[in-house]
Amino acid sequence: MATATHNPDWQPKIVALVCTYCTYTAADMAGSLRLQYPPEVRIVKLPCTGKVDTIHLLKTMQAGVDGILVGGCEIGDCHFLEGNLRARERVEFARALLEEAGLSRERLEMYHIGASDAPLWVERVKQMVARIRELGPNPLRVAGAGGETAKTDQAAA
Amino acid sequence: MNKFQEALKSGKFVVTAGLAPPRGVNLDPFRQRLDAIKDRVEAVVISDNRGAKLAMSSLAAGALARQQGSEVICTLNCRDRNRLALAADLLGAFALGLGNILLVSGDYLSFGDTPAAMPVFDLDSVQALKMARSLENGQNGGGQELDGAPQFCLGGVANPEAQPLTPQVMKSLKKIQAQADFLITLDVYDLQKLAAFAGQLGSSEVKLIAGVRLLGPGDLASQAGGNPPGNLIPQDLLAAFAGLEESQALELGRRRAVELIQELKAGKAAQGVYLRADCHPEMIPEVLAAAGL
Amino acid sequence: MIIARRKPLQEIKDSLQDYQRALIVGCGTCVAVCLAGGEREVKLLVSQLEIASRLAGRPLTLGEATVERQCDREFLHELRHQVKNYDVLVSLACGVGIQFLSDLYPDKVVLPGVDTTFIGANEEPGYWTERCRMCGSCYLALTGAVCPITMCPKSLLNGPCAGTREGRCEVNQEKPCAWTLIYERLEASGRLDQIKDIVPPRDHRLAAHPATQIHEAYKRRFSAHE
Repeated sequence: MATATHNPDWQPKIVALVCTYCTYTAADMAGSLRLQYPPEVRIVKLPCTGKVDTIHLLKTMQAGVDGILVGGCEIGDCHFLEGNLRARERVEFARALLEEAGLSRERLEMYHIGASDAPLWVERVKQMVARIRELGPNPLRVAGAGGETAKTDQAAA
Repeated sequence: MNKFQEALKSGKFVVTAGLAPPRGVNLDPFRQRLDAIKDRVEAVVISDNRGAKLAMSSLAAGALARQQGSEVICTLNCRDRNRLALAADLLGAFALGLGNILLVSGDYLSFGDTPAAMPVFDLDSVQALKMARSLENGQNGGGQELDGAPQFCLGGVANPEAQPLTPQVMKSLKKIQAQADFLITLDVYDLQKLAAFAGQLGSSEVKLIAGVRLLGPGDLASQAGGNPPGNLIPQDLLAAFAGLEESQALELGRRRAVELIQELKAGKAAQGVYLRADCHPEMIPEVLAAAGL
Repeated sequence: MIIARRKPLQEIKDSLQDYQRALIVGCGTCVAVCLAGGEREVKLLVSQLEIASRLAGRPLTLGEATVERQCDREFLHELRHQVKNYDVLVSLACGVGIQFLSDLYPDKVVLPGVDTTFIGANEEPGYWTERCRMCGSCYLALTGAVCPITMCPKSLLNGPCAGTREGRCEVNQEKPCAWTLIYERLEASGRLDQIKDIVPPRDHRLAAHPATQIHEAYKRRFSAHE
């Protein structure tokens, strides 16, 4: 596994693209409730996950983050009716494009987390961090920093 | 006038059966089956890459069958040849003594073993019939003169069980307008539908030859396994076959085909029968014998 | 409009194997609407190629440009300075645009980034259906504005085949039988008589390739091309 070969000091960088109406509120509440969750997640607040474009997801991975978590409203609860459903489809499309380019589709995931569900946010973040630790660093970052021959996720796994 | 044409003209109940040409160049099974049925039928209908699956040329197989003493109806489809090739094949057919031709549009390529091939469909079956008639008038499809004109007994396909029926009737009327001598139907399951269809063809002289399919486990499996071309086996029949051993299923299929042929012969809706048994062509003689033909 | 489909990345990557500097050229018309080769798709392809080439340890220099239409010289002229910096151009336009781009920049290698599929309607964003096969002899007046050449897989002109089943197409049960539709439309508007007679075979000369067309008012200028 990739975990065996990468730098032990490596800490994953995960970007969370979250909807202000649900997941962002849940994350905020997790803070108020003093719930502990891994610090590797950087939150970007969006008016709706429907704002996420496929190119944002690809460019973010290209910039070297190790994983992306998209947090949208529960199915049927979108403030804009179906922004979260559209985001889901785009995330699936982006996963396919990333895989085609040689990165693991597992680095990108969408979760549905209601505004009042702080514990679920914590659980999903933990889950994503564990998954990315398992996958290891974004091979693009390895290639960029060390100048060593990059491996695709498939080849590394 | 050949044996089939005489039978059509005489007004007696015309018996035909379908046989596929060899899929390869081993002629033995084909020849054996021809011998087994030739005295029971007015003509053997030779298929043309039926189901879009490769088989030997219908005309070549038809010529071989005639040499062996069987009268034949050769099928020519519009899927595999353009109007020039179709006309050339028709002239060649006549020269080889193959005067009975069934002109069909052809099962679509996606059903067969060569799905990536180009579907031609330059003519449809109505236009093909009309073109064949123009050859008889000594002209090619474009009106230019031929050196010697053929004479054909021409047929088309009809489906009395199509839903909705009226567009199908319109198509059949066009085939009659194009002077088809006979129409062979897809598999018949409901004689009332056949009678209703026949009633809508008006006062035409066209002979309706009803398709009867000898059902066996292979046919059931092919329907269960996907979406075969043509009429589907109705639910009540499928239910009757459910859970039967292979030999029992074959026996039921045989009994049903015999009864259907007898009813057709007793009734007035059709002037003949076309028996096909794609999975068990060796059973054709015994079915015809049991039906008293 | 023309519908196209982005080629798999692997195929594009393989075709670029011998080059270092590639300009990805989008087209802002049909292929932009069908999400195959517009400005966004140029960005997605560039991003994918950058990721893939870095992972392969063989970075490509990639540029992007999207013109209004690649089937029009005046828009392709806009690229004349930019193309100098690249040794290969990947066009995301339909087959027309790809060839036109190559005609205009004959010293550049031009590669296709899409497969052109059909002329279709934009049913909904993301969903397109074929409606015209460019037969050169429109039958729609006769057939109640349902095209038998396109909507019937066998392009039958005289009625349904025997395989039609409950108004569905034998070839694809998800689709309606074109001839059942035609019949019903004409019946509803009292025009059934117009399909009672046999329709003669198509004249395939009307769709002969490669086709050329010159407007009456332009004969003086272009009649040499006829």
